[in-house]
Formats: sequence, C-alpha cells, structure tokens
Amino acid sequence: MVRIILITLLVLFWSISAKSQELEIGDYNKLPLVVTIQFHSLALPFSDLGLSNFGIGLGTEVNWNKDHTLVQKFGISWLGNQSVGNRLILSSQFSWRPRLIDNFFTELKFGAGYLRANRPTDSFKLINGAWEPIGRKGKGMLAIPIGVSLGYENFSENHLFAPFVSYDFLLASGYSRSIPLVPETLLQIGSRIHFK
Amino acid sequence: MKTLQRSWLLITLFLLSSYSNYLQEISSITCVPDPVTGSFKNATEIIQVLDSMVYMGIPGVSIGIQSSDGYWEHSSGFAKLEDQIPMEPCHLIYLQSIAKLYLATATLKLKEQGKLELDAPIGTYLPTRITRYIDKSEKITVRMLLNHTSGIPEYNDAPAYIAYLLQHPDHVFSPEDYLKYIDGRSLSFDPGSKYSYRNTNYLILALLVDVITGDHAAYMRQEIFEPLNLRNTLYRAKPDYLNDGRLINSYWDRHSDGIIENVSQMQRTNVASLIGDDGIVATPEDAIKFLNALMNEQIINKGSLAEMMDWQLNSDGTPAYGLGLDYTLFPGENIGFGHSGGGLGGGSELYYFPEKDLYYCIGINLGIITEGPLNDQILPLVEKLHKTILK
Repeated sequence: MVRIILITLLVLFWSISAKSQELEIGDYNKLPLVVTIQFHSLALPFSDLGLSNFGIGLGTEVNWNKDHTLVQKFGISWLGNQSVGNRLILSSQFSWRPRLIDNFFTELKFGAGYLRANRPTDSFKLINGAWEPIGRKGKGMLAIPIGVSLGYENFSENHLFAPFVSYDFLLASGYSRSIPLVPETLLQIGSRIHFK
Repeated sequence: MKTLQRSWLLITLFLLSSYSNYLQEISSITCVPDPVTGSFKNATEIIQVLDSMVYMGIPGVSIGIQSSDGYWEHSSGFAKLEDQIPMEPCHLIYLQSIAKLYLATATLKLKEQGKLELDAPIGTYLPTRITRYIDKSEKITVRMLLNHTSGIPEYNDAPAYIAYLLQHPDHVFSPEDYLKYIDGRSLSFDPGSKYSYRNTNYLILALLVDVITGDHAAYMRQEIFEPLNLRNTLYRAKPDYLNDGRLINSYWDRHSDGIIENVSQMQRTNVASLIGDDGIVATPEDAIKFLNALMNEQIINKGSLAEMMDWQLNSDGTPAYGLGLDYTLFPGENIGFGHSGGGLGGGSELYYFPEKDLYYCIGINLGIITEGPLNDQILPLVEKLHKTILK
C-alpha cells in the first residue's frame, strides 16, 4: 500500500511540475497520450473502494469541438486482480468535459468496450473424459463503462501534462449463465501528456 | 522524457514485484477407506453411472447406500485433480444445505427438552441486536424459520454479497455480516402464508439456538454427533475445523463455459463462515448414519419426527418441505425424505426412501449453484443414478 501511494504521488508530482517547451496552441489537443494507474474491484458502485488490484492504462483522445469540452477517448488497460483474475479492457468513451474554475475541469463519460477476464488460477478443460490444464484462460465480455473525473489542464501556459483522477463503473455482460451481469469499478489516477 | 521513462520503469517493476502466483488449491491426502462389509444389488450399474458422471465433467464423486444388503460405498474421479488424488469414500464431502436437517433436528431436540417452543415468536429468544435486522420479527415464529414460511429475504442473492464474495474469496463473514444484507428489506410475504426456501431462516435459527444453548454447534455435537459416534462429521469444533487433509478440493465453472478452476480456498472459507444453513463436512457413511438414526427415532422422538413431516406445499399443491426435511418425488413415484445441498464448489444429496427402506448419500466436488454446460450434461446422469438406485 505504501508503495502504491508513493508511486502515485511521484507520478502526480512529475505530471504537475514537468513542463514542455512552448507548444503551438493548435497542437495542444492532438492525440495526447493518456497514462493512468488504476485500481480495480469487482464491486457495486462506490462500495469496496480501496487502493488494491493495481493496473495501468494507456490511451488517447480526439476532440469533437474546438472548446475541448466534447471528447472521444480510446484506451487499453491491464489490471492485476488475483482474486477474480486479471483484466484487459479495450474501450472508447464519449466525454463531456466542462471547465470549472482555475483550469480545473470535470468530466462525465460513457461508452462501450471489450473486457477480457482471466481466471485467477490455473484452469482445466475436459478433453475426451480427462481434465487437461489450460492455464488461466479467460472470457471476453461486452462492457459498458460510465465514469466521472476531476482534473487540471492549462492551455495558456502550455503545460505538457494534464493530471486527473477518475472513477469508472463498468457493467460487464455474460459473466456466466447465472450471473449475467457483473459490476466492476476502476479508480484511475493519471495524466494526459501532450507531446509537441 | 527521462523522468517519464523512469516513472514507467518504476511502475513496471512494481507490477512485476506485486504479481504473485495465486493458488486456491488445498492439500487433500490419499485416504484408504475401511473395507466395505455390505453390498448393493445394482452396484455394477451404479459404478458405471458414476464413471460416466466423471467422464462427462464431475472431477470427483462419492456415494454411500444403506439397504437391506448392508452398507455399500464407492467413489470415482479425483479428490484433487492437480495431484491426481483419487476420490475415496473416506474423503470428507461438503454437505452444504444438508446442514439444515442437522440444525432442525437439534432444534426439535431442544423442544423435547422443554427449552424452546416452536410457535413462540423468535424475539422470545433472540436479542434486539439480531431482530433489528428482521422486518416484522414479532410475527415470525421458530417454526416459520424451520419450514421456510417466514418471508425473510434471502441474504445470498444480494448483488452486493455476491460481488464482495467473489472479490474477497478469503474473507471470513460473521453472522451479522450476512444479516446486514437483509437490513431494511421487507418480508417477501406475510409470515406463515406460503413456503419459500431461504438460507437466512437457518442462519437466524442457528443464532437463536446459540442464545439457548450457548453454542449451537457444540449442542449439535453433544446431542447428535457424539451419541451416534459420527467421528467423520465436522462442524465448527474449532475455528480451523476444515483444515483437514481428508477434505476434497472444490472446482467451479466460473464462466459457464465448461472450463473449471480450483476454488477450494474460497469454498472452505465460505463454508466455515456459514452457520446453520451450511457448514458441515462428513463422509457419506456418517451422513447416512445420521439420517438412519433420525428416521428410526434415535435422536428425536416419534412426535417430533411427525412434526418434521408436517409438509409445506409447493404452489402446485405437492408436499415440499417440513421442519428441515425435504420431500422429493424421485423416479418411479418413490418418495424421498432428506435434503440436498449445493455450493460454489460442491453438491450433495442425502435421502431416505421409505418404500425401499433405503438410504443414499452422494457428494461431488463441482459447484452446482451456478448453471453451466457441465451441469447440463450431468443432470440426466443424476436422474439415471436415481433410477438405478431405486430399481
């Protein structure tokens, strides 16, 4: 836990303090790299929160308008969760990102994605009456992620980084016949990195 | 960009260091059963059916039959797949909900001893720290808990419970933890107006017997296990009572795709947390000894047994459930008294067929509470097994 907090603080510190050389305004929002560390849980929304089940995410986004308030996000995440199995998530979300005060912004987002859920332990498949080990082979599911974020961005000073925290709730379908839908949550801490 | 590269390196190192080889398996020993003294007329056919069940997807199965030919038992498959440990009749199987029959028996014993009235409101015995979770508890009697007519909601179908159990497979729940999942929920129906099977009834019943006896599990051991010499029946004698090498490993088809994984740690922790509605492990032989003694009025008297068989009806008017005793019509119109059980990593049946004067117990180490193709394939074989036994 201490390691997680230290790394989080380190990344945030670098995100906020590091500055690029001057960028052209027009370049600012063109395909930034979005880097996140994430904490995953199979849980109902806003329950069972905790800084465990660590993962990382990479993504990018494109603007739908010049004000940068409507955004389409694309991402891929790998999440380590030894109790329910590791996750790989590919998703795209539409985001409404209104500005608050002093360069702070908030965000509401929703979309769709593919969630690959591995098994937590080695598994077996029945082949001609004998159980053969097949590793942690998982299952692909359709996922509907919705989320909220709070972040900081500074166009005027041409900051390279725009840090944010985000909370996503995913509803994954087809977990099993008896449990057709499972709730999963993601706490994300990260930054957009606007390369020149 | 060097700072960025360094931070990625740190994160990668962290991920590698935090990754561990998570295991669910437990050690099951190879056990050698005592020689079987009895026989059974259809033993050869039954062995074929058990072998088919294993071939079609049950990792391991164990069966015991008590008939006029004496006691006969057999196992097929594996107690632990990873180590190829053969399933044997001396392995301990999860009785799952069959535990309700044991607790009901203990409750009727308390009634016989004059320590409990079946038609008294549960608040007569339970403190408010328990009844505060139960809607209209003043209208619910001990009998309504026993025969599932209380209307108290089910705790284990709450999405929050299922999610928490999956995410925290090693979490030990307290009885009050379970009650919190019904906190604020209304009764499903007026108490006594209909029958609907709920695990919560027996969780509350165990707490009620705790109040009267100090420890319902100790009372069950004292009044049932010890007099019947059930040395291979384990229930909460100590906190780690399930750390027994004779206990089978458990498997679950998590995603209903025919692929199973070992869930033994989760199963064992889950079962050890459950009181009243589950929690007992035993050999099939011990389970049959118990049911035999119950039906022969060696534990409770004739009047109590008759109360146990005061059947609540299904919606179609057929008998369903008495006081901890299940009524099932098996193939060939054979009536069976007993109970069945199912869990995340196991399934079981314990029945007495009065017309054949035959007792039967089966345990498997595949979870049956969720649906899947393996269960689909096995169900017809279970039916075939019933037919073979009752032929």
